[in-house]
Amino acid sequence: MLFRPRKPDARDIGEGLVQIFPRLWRYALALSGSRAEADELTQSACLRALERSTQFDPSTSLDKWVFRIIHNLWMSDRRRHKVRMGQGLVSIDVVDIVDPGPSADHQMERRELLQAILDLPEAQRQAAMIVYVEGYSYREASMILGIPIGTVMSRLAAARTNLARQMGGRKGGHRARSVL
Amino acid sequence: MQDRYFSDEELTAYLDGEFDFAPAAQIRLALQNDPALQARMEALTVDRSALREAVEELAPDTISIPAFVRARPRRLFVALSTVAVAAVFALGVFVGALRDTGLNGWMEYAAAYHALYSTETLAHFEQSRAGKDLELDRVTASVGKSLSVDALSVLSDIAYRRAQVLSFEGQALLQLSFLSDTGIPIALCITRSSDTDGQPLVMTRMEGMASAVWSLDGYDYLLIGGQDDALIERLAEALVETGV
Repeated sequence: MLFRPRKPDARDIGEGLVQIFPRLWRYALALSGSRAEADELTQSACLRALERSTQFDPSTSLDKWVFRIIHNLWMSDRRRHKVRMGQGLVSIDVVDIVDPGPSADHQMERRELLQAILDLPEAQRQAAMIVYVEGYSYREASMILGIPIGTVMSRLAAARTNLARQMGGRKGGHRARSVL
Repeated sequence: MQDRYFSDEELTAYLDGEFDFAPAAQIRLALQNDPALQARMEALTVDRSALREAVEELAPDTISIPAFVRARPRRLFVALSTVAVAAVFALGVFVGALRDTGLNGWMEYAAAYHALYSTETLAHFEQSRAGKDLELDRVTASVGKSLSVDALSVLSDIAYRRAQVLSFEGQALLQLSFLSDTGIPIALCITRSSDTDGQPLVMTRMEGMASAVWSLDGYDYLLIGGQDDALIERLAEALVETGV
């Protein structure tokens, strides 16, 4: 008798969502630039995942599936409301989304890095978040973002150029730790 | 000097270790004696781990906000409540459902209102049996429902104190208030429902309080109060079973 994995139910999906919720939220924040919008977008994505739990293929990865959901929700929301157009740029100020804290040097560096990511054009930011922050492969990013691998590559190349340029003026701290 | 031109995309794929999409061996070889290529590579170099760490410092607020699980198995909440990160999940995963139902408004307001209750709010309400019946008749009529003190006797662990009619967006909202044996205020809120199909009883947390939500026979119900989920669930089940 062949073993067939049990079809996940809403409970399974819900438990998985608990684990990946912070990651989803961070991606939503990078997309929207607003904590409130990130909350709403992440909640909507989780709800959509639960509503469609029967469509989830247990042989695949839940996180990739939900990342794709949240990305699609954001893109359709942008189209519907026609907001944040103009070169696909979203102006996000890191001070709006990071709680003020001690101004230690390393924290300043982190914030500058964060601002550098948020300053990227949206398409580049999405690719950089999915590959460089979330660690997905090019193939996985292609699936999540719904774009060809070649487009993923060109967006990442552009993102690298912009990030390296923005961080280039910094004292060698980041570069010193750089391996790639 | 390199024999072929490598695109930025290929160099990026090389840096990313995506060797299916980069002529890695050729790039590696060319880098050994091609300063121009080395400079291009440098111009594409970023600290991935630092980027990741910078973003990972961002975190959603873990403060629980009113949550509502619509038409979800109760065991979902029970399961989640056993893990430490349940608060993150309660952060509002299901707020979207609330918006879909249109019920979030009154439930959130009712929960916030009840959060202001203390033992002292209700302790001084002492009425005769006739007074209670009269009050219940008057109040429940506002939502077209009939409830008696006898019917509320299924709530054996809490004592009925008073009933009042509230209003939300022009619609009558019935609030019955109780005190538990330990002086915890508990409220049963009832309003007319637009959902004629009904919704199963679901446990959740609203304003940090144990809450049970269900719809039955054209009415929406919220039983809320204290921290004892088991008590609220048991009382809610008794109400559902008796059709109160």
